[in-house]
Amino acid sequence: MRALLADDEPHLLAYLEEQLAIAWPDLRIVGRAGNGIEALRLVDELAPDILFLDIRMPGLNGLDLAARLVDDKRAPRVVFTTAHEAYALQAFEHAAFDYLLKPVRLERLQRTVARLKEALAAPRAAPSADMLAGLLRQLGMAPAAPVPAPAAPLQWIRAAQGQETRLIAIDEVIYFQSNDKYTSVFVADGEHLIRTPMRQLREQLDPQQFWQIHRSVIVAARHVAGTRTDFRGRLLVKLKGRDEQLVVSRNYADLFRQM
Amino acid sequence: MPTSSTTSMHPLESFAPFRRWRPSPLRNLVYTFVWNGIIGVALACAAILFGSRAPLVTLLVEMLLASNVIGFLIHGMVHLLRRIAPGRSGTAMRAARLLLTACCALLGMAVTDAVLGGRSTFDALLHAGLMAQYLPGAIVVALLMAAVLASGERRVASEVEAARQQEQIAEAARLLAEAKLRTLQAQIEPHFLYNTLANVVSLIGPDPARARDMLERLIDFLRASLSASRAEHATLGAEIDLARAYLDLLTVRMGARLRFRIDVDAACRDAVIPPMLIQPLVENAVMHGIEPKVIGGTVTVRARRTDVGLCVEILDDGVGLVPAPPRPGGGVGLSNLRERLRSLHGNSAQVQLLENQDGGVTSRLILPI
Repeated sequence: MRALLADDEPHLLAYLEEQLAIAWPDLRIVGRAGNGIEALRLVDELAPDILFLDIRMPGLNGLDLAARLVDDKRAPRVVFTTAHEAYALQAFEHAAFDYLLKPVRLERLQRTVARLKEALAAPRAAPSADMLAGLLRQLGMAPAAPVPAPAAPLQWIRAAQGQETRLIAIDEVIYFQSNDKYTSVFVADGEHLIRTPMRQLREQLDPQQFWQIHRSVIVAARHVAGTRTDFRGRLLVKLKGRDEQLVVSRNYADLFRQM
Repeated sequence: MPTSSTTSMHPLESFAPFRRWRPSPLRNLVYTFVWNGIIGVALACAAILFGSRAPLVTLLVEMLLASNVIGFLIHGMVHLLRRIAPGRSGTAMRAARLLLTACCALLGMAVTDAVLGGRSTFDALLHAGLMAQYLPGAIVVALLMAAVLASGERRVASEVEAARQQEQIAEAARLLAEAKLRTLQAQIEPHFLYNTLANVVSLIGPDPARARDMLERLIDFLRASLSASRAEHATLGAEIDLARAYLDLLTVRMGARLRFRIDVDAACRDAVIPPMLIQPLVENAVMHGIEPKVIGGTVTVRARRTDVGLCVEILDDGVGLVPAPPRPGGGVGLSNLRERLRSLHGNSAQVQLLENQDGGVTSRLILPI
């Protein structure tokens, strides 16, 4: 039997190899990978029967790697090794053969080895990849079809400031206000100018958290303290801990009617 | 912006028992009546003091009638004024109120005079001699009203300010407690411990000296982070040593993928700073910058004095900010750090995040010294 080991922490990789040498002396370790991309390449190249796979790795994490193998119908038996117990359920969703917590204890590893031997000795009714994919379907999970992720809402805003590029976390923003050429980003300790136009911003922001209240103003909902109507009948938004009040234009006033 | 409660206060709210009664028209009328009674009695006493020879009962009836007529007139007028110009305040409004009060006082005295003396009110008002007689009294009443209103406004304003300060103090205390808890949790982040100990276990056989060294570094790190998260203040030097112990441990774990440099002016090491500010930023640099990068990279911790304060920078040449799903055990939120700094230093401290030319990120702390 041939196995591939993947872990980004070199000592842990060496230790697993050591433990495996005791638990399963006949097993041939054909390759070692330090990241997910390398592991994927080595699986292609070496076609191991068993893959010992760390979950948190740079490049491509263990779960994504397993999903890709199932998708390509070339699944070795995958044993996940991780320090994170929280991943167990996910690991089995990705057709894990077993799930080992680091540091791997010898007796636990011996149990895994015994099960692996049994499974590999049994005549295969179907190629394992098909079997795993079928199992995934039964469980109501698409077998790792690379689902195009919905466009993630904007998380960071880049604002040039002299020679530097400031990064502003989206949850720092109190409101956006557009001028002729620029958009001002107001945060607690000041104002930054960005080039992104209002229309583009609106598309990238989570509408639950950012409300457009005017053609040129988008305000963060969690910074809104309340509204008031001034003597001219205009609806104004008051902000928490700030003096300025933002005018709500007629088109957007409905937003506050239910409040 | 002054809150509207300072301008809408009723003058009688100067008395504590009245403040507890919820505002209503009836309350206002009762207040005004009580207020008028007090003024009436005071005026009667004043008249006796200044040598009036009228009998006490007559004097009292006269003064109580006058003060009630004037008081209710003022009450009605001020009410009307508020209806006409709601929410206004400032000098113009005060002047208008003063003038109105004076007019009401004048009118009230004339009415009283007419009731008691059987003369026509208009007669009295139009009679120049009588006007001259009433004028000083009217001015005194108006000034008295103005003084009462002004002192009431000041008192309410100062109470509002005191309440606001109390709230701020409570908020700061809450933030501090929360930050302490979170930093404590962050330091003893279980996966950091598991992974580090797993490494120690893996080294015991092949490289016992290295395993022992790593365990010692872990103990250093735990001791320093536990005591730091309980302390009010730390020195920059101690915080840098903590970061070094952390980076040492991670260098053993990550092998050649992580390198680090510490570049701190010796003169800065004694600077007193809040504990646990640098550590979360170093963690972020490793976790979000270097760890996801296949070939790894370098973390640099830099500190120097500048003209705006102590400047601590944590630089990495990692993957930079990529939209990534949150990971279990992810770094301490920057927003938490920012809030903590604000509660400690107001606007004189800052945390900035900058994008490096090579794609990595620099976190910059600026602290007042």
